[in-house]
Amino acid sequence: MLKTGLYSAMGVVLAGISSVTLSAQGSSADEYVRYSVPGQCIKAIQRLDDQYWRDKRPDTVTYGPEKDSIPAMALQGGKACASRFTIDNVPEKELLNLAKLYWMLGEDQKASAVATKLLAAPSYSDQDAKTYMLYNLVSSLANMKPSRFDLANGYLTQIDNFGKSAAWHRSLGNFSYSVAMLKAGNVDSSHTLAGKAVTAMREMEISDKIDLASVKLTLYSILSEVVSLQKSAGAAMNFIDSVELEILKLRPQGTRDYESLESRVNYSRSPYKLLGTSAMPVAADKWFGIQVGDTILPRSDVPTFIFLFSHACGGRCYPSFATLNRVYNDYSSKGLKYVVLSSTGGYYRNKLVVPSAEVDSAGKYFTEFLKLPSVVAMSESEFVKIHDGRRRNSPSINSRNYSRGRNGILVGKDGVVKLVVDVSPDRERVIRQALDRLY
Amino acid sequence: MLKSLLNTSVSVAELSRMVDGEQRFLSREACKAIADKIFSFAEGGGGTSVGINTNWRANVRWGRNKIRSGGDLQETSITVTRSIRGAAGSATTNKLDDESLTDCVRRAEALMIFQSENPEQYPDTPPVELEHTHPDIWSDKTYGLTAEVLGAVSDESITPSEAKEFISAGYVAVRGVGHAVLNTSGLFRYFPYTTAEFSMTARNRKGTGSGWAGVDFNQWDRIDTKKLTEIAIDKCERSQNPFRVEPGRYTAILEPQAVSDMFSPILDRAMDRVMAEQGMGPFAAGGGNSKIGQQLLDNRVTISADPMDPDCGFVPFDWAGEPYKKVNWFENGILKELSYNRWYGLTQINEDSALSNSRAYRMSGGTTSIEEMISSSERAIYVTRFNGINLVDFPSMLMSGNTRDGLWLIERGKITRPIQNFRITESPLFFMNNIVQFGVPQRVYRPSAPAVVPALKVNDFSFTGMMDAV
Repeated sequence: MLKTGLYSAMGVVLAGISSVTLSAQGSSADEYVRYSVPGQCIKAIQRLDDQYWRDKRPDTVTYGPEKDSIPAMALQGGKACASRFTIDNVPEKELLNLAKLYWMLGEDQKASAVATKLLAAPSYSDQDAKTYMLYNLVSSLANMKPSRFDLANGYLTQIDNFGKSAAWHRSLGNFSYSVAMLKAGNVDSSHTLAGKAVTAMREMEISDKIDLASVKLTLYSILSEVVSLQKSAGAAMNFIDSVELEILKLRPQGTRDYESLESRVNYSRSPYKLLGTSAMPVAADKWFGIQVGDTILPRSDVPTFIFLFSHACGGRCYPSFATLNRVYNDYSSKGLKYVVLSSTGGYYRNKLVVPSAEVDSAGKYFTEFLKLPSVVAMSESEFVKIHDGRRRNSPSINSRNYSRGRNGILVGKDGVVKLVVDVSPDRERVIRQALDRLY
Repeated sequence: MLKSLLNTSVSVAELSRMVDGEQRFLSREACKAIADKIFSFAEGGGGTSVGINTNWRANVRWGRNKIRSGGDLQETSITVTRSIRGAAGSATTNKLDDESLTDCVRRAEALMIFQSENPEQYPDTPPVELEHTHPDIWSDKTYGLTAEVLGAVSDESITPSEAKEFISAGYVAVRGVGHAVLNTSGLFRYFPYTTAEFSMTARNRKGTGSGWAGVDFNQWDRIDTKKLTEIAIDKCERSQNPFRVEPGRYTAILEPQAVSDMFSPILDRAMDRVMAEQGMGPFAAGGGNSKIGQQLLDNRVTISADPMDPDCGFVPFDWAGEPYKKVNWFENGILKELSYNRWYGLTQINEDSALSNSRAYRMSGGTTSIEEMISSSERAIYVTRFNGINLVDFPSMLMSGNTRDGLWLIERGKITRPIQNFRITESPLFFMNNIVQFGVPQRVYRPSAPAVVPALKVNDFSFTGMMDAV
């Protein structure tokens, strides 16, 4: 009979691996000894950032990038990790990460030197490679915590200077910068940059336009959001209509690609149909968190912010709740009413429940567990079971009136819809600007 | 022995003796004791779940008519999953001392740090009180076999091969396994079972003929090694000096093993409902729908799975502890079910249940014997089994591979000659709609999950190229 030593040998190997892993997690003199490239230090900073917030409620800490920052302990770890690298001992393919690492640590001078070396490297002597790297720099800087618009702008100008021959990267660079500007609430700059991105796209070869059709549609969606903020819903709708043909003609009519694009164009138009219309009354099978008069919504004496949330959204919606709470703290004294619209799905947490129990549980979840400063209007969904057993909810009255692909609808005290927006840290500035205009 | 595995009272101090002693894998109480220790080593709150695969196996492998290796192995693999507020990390160890178990828990916790939290995510495990079935898949006789006995079995297969001056190779093995799932919510499942398998290839010395036979069961005494040996040798003898036949679409008589080789990838890869609704795989209907309810196979075909199936039983719960249910995946050719987890059941169909896929299956059949299939064929190809099956295109389940170990041409109702092997390019979803006759379902060789499958006679099977395989 043979007795193998294989498994005990495997045990030795496993034990060896785990001891290395633990030393990397522990507090040894140099816990970054196994980090061999700057990209790993960036990951370490992200890990330490996550770790810092681990036991703190996420709804108090989620910000848009322009005003977010990395905790000091994460930066400290990043500095310890970065200390082993210099501009001279890092391979060319890691120079971009080294520049990003230095910018994250606030060592701008070193970062700029690395970026200069990177752009002068033989691998980037070709124009396309150089503009690609410039685009990477723009995108990294615009989306850093906090955003570094001053530096991003400099590299974006370099891409723009290449003119028509760099249309692809000009378009992507301006698009990326435009989105970051919108997050920062700088609507006018966002509009200008998006316009430049569109111009660049129009200069592309047809094959490139097809490759970028999806990006282009996203760009137009954002641009129309900007137009609606700057001007009006009608202007946004007109803008979408004007670009519709431009996008749709990229694909032959009747093809699946065409239908997919067409459906996305229509989806982009949907929120703006609600803008400027009179808001319909909010309905509910049961109200939560109400005081006298709270069931007649939207209010006619103060602006009303309507939110559509599912109780099953969980952690994904915490950034929205963070924005919602921060905005309320700053505007409630001026008069602002919140109402959450939600409906039943047949379950609550990991239990099947009857509709009335789900209504009660969900209402308490929003008002007592999350402590949202909001009235909650709960509706019992009517539903059917389709052929394969899946439940299909019929839209509630509130869904029919308000569901347009965004989870936030701001109604002025004149009863007219003023803003249709995704409630998130990325749009917090825009929401504040819209509210400022209402007071 | 089964009773002792389920009831033995063992102190933690005795664990190591149990592994090396009479009991060759961990009992129910031993698994519980280990899990309790692991639970106590966890730090920082949250939940802990433990999966234990503890097994003993004896095996003998032979090649070129000589036993080349034998094993009598005991292995216990423990997977620890730590979760806090929806973030989870897993680590595995095969050492049972306190230091190694603690280390395993720490590694799981270290990995957990890299996961995003979802403060409202709740454990997705089955209710503790949910019962599983108790299939009869334990055999004391199988557990009592040793590598020496298996060596003797090998000799009995080698000797007739030598007598024919053939070269044989094969593998024979038995296992005793304990499958345990425990968590800090109170879930505790343990199920012991045995397996036995035999496979053998015989080749002539010139390398121009080859025959194969094999099967696996939970009970050793259901394997007729003598008969399988005779089949392999007979096929080797009859497949020598093959003729070349043009590739093309032929009527094919597929032995049960050949059917299983082609159809099993559907059970292995394609039965996930979420995947289908997301537009991936052969059962995606587009628009967020699956093909449930559609006629996809011949209307005489039913594909089912039941842990209590006396000829195709299996461990009655999965690694999450979710009980396997009796299910008809296809009924009269209509796709009736695809697998889903408990969260899908709750949120999408409002049922507090999961439908796990064990990958085991039984394919319905008929009563036609292979002899009748042959005698009723004007011109056809008889296939023993396939080799090297690879998926070429997931949406159509188009596969590529080759025939091997016995391929014959049938002309005017008789096997007339052995033929050179073919490369095949075919989809089971195609040939399962071109079935002419069904054989009697029988157990095939599929150690990873049991299968009971009939022989089939199908039209227009696609043999796409010549292949110099034997």
